[in-house]
Amino acid sequence: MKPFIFSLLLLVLLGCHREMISVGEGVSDTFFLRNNGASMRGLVEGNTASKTFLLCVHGGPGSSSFFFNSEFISTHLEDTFAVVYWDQRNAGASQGGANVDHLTLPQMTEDLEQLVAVLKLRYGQDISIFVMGHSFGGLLSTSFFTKEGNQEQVKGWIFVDGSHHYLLNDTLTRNMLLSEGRAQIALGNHIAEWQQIVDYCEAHPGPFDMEVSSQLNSFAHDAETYYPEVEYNSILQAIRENALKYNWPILPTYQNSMFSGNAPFNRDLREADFRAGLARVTVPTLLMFGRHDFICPPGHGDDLMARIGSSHKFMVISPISGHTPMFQDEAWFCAEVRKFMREFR
Amino acid sequence: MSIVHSGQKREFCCMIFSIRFSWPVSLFLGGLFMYSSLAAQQVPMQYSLGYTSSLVYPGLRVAAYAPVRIVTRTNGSKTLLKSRWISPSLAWYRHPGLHDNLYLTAAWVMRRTARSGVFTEFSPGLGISRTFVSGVTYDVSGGTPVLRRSAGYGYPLAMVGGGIGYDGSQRWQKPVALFLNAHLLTMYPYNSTVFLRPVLEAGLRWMPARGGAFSPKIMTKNK
Repeated sequence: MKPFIFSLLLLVLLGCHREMISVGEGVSDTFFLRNNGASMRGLVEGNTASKTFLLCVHGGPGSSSFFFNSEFISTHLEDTFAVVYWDQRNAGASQGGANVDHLTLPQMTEDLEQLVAVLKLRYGQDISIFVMGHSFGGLLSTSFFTKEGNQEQVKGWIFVDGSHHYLLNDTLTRNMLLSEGRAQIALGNHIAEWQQIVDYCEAHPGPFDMEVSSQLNSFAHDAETYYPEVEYNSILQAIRENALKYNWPILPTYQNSMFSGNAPFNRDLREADFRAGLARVTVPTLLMFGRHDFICPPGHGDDLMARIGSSHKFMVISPISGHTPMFQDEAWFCAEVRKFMREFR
Repeated sequence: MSIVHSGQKREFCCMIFSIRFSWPVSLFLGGLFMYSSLAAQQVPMQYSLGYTSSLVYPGLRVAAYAPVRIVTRTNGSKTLLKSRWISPSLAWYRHPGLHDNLYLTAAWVMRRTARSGVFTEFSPGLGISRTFVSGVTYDVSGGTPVLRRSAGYGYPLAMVGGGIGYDGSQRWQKPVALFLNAHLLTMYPYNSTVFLRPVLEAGLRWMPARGGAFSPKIMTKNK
């Protein structure tokens, strides 16, 4: 019995973690944010001495910021800034128990607010934080920026191939699939595939229920692969290259992704509409889209540009990207982010 | 495996001895599916230590095995020892960036040992887990950040797996066995879903001749 007790005590002690706050270059700090049933991983890498932080708000729901932590971003952004790879609740390396009741957009918005507060607690109240939302992270960051008092806590907003309004998203996706599909058929490119998409879009002019929305999303994923200039974004390749290097928990990430992507709150997301609050957003804003993103089409950017109240708002489009310009046009992506953050930090 | 006969105070140092002992008995009785009970015999507990790994993430597992039933089955020249054990174990692994996991299980081990010493196992088990997340934790549930050390979660756990090994008492006359196991750990509710983790284990099982003896049901079964 004694060896068991000894082992238990030893392992409990091993489980204790000191608060490691590193200020310098080449930093890699991991901490967890515990809030209402979830412990969410935050990995801070890069140059914390710069006091300028890029906070990644990943998509999904239920994806992971592990995927953002590419070699290219490490060498082209982390040298100048610190990058915060945050796994939202029920995503990536985040952990918890029976917490589905807390898996809501308002709760995730509060998580993001608390994360900003903890980053300032760790690295100083004077740090500059830029929130970068991708895909679903675009909706979450819109929720954050349109909530009173939040934009004062950060320096800027980077919106990458995201959606700020899901119902608008369906319309934009359907219209882009239809117009691009017809053009590609006329050019003789992937005629059979595009014809199927065009037929479906013509048969479904809207309004869109969850089933039609899912089908449009599926077509949107396929559509960007029909353009030779768009690099195929292979998750398997990313896993091969980075899983062991960054200790990705592959199975939990997959399980979380499957669960969150189908969780009940996805229906509520369709009703989320923050457009009325966008006029109050006055922080510098950078909108980034891939020319061939059918999942969250560049039309979102046009709507945001018209509504956001900031006097410093920019929209840039990568001609060779689909939904993930941080991988498909990584040099362009890092250059634009770097320029924006340097100007407004 | 060592079997202690409490009535005669004789120790059979290895399984092959007991199997050889049962041979003439089985030949004498003959016939199909003959059973004989030797319920008075006592069998010591066994203990194992294993290095566990899920891909590259290390861990350890210590286990004890209490015998429940041992059946020696002979069929002509072939002899097979089928044994059942209750096995409590304490295990741990570390996955940097995720958590340390300490889990206590009770497994039902079904083992088949051939005359050559090669054995196979299958073992379903239930238990509890306590994780320790891999980093300092700021608990903001109360509104303001509170630093928590050793933060983590408790989960019910189920485990199923099996493996192969070699019982050194057969030919080497050593009370040890080497084994390789593969287990699938499941914890629920982990983020309201199921946590899955395959675990490989390489280890050594010690089969002392005495101490911690149990009285399993011991039978011979002849065909």
